[in-house]
Amino acid sequence: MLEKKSLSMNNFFVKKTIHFFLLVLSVYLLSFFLVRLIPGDPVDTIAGIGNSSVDVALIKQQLGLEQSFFGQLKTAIKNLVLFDFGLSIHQGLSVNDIIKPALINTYTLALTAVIISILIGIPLGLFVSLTNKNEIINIVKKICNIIIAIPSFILAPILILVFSMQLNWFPVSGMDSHLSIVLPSLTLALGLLCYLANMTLDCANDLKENAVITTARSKGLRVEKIYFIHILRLISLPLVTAIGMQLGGLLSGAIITEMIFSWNGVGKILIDSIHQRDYPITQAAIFFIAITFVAINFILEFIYRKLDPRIR
Amino acid sequence: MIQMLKISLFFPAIFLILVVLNFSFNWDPYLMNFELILETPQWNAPFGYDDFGRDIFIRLINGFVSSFQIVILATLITFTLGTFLGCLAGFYGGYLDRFLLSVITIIQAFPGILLVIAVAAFLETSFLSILFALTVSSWIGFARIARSQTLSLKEADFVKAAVSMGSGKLRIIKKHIFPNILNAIFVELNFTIANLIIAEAGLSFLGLGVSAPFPSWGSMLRDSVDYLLVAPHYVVFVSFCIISMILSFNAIGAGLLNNENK
Repeated sequence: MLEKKSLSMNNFFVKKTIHFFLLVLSVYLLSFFLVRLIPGDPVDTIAGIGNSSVDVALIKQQLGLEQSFFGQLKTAIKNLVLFDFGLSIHQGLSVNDIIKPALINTYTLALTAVIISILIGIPLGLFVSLTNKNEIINIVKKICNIIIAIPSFILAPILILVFSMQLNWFPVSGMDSHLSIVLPSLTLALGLLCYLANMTLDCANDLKENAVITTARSKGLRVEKIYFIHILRLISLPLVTAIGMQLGGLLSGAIITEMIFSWNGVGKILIDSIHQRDYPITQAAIFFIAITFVAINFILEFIYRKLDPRIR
Repeated sequence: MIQMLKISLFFPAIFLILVVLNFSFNWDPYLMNFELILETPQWNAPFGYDDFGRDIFIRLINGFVSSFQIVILATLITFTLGTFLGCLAGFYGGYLDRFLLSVITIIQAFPGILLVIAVAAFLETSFLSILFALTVSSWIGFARIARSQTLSLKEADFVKAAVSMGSGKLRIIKKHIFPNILNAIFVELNFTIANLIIAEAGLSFLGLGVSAPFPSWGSMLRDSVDYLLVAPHYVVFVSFCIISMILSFNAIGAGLLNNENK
């Protein structure tokens, strides 16, 4: 019996891993063949008017366009295995050197946002549910629903207006002080925060009549303790799913948020490279953002399986 | 719920009326008045003036027209394409279904508006390229709903009866499946419109959308952010319009969903 169980877990792991790598490969190929979307000759578009033939040859080589289609495919796959994304056209640096510090900045920002939303959103939901007053619950849910719908490029100016202009608490943009991370991460966090609060509230309300909670009550446990131990454990599953589902919005929101707050992350590099027509960087930035999203979902699936003994 | 639907229709309806007024009175969104640069709201300009002394109110109405042309067109295309492919895959199954699923999985690997940005990045900015970028990433919503609904309807008695009577597969999809999944698709339609408004505004906000003198909500928002210090009214009115439009369509979708579940 035990053997069978572990085998199925292994099977699941192998299947999911193969699936993951296939997905990485297709995302990679898609992002690296987007250059073909450029109307006309991409090299002319990049080099501009009055280009020299040396420039054209160099750019052609950097984009790998001098080869046949299958040659390009082979080089692309080889580069993926070697983790080599070529050279930036304008800065002359290798794409890896540009992307790596940017990735660290973006991950710091996104992680801070997720931590903020978990630390505030879930307790907020539990406390509001504890009040047991329908009016308060409804008002909080309505406000949360509105904030969830607001895109980051509107949230950011509003936050700057309130917290930097009026209250003067945090810097408007840049990465100079430790406080600089507060506003961009808050911009990213608010949506997830409200989503988690809403979800916690709903689940906690549904669970009030559950047998587990009635038992805990009849044992004479304090209501707060029941909420923060029993109910939290019961709702951890849907919360993990919710975080996974909202992460996409958070990551793509990071692109715009980084632009507004001039936070040197992948998103800012992506948009800057698009305006400079530095295609190797654009390709790599798109690939890395997508891969982060895929990898997190991959990991969350395992956490989900660990948390829920029923599907193990 | 019906009451909520009425309230959420209020804002789009007002804008439609304003658009009609705009065309009948020929309000000029490009009229510059350099004495009135960044002036606060006043009687003849309820939302104030922008950085070129243009009336923000009139520019918002014209921005609504240009943004919604793209959004509505993209919605129609994704609706047709997504529903058709989803129904086909769900009904025929097999390789077609697997192929569609893997395409959906790959497109879903690009979070949020990343794919829209990615496609727009490599195309020259034009109406068609924005339309293409928005369409590529948003048809999967319809395809997924249509596919799952078709899969469950396939087992229904009336579909089995139609199969046993020997009607063609495409005819069954057209006559029996499509009318029955329309409710679910309509719900998705409103959420798609809301998402496309965000994507379109995001694109022009990043400078990848409708180009400069032409008003669009996203590019107006980007301009207004530059003048956050001097003219907060600019950013407030533009964001108010975008948020209310998004909330309206989300609310319509939620209202329809509630109605259906009843």
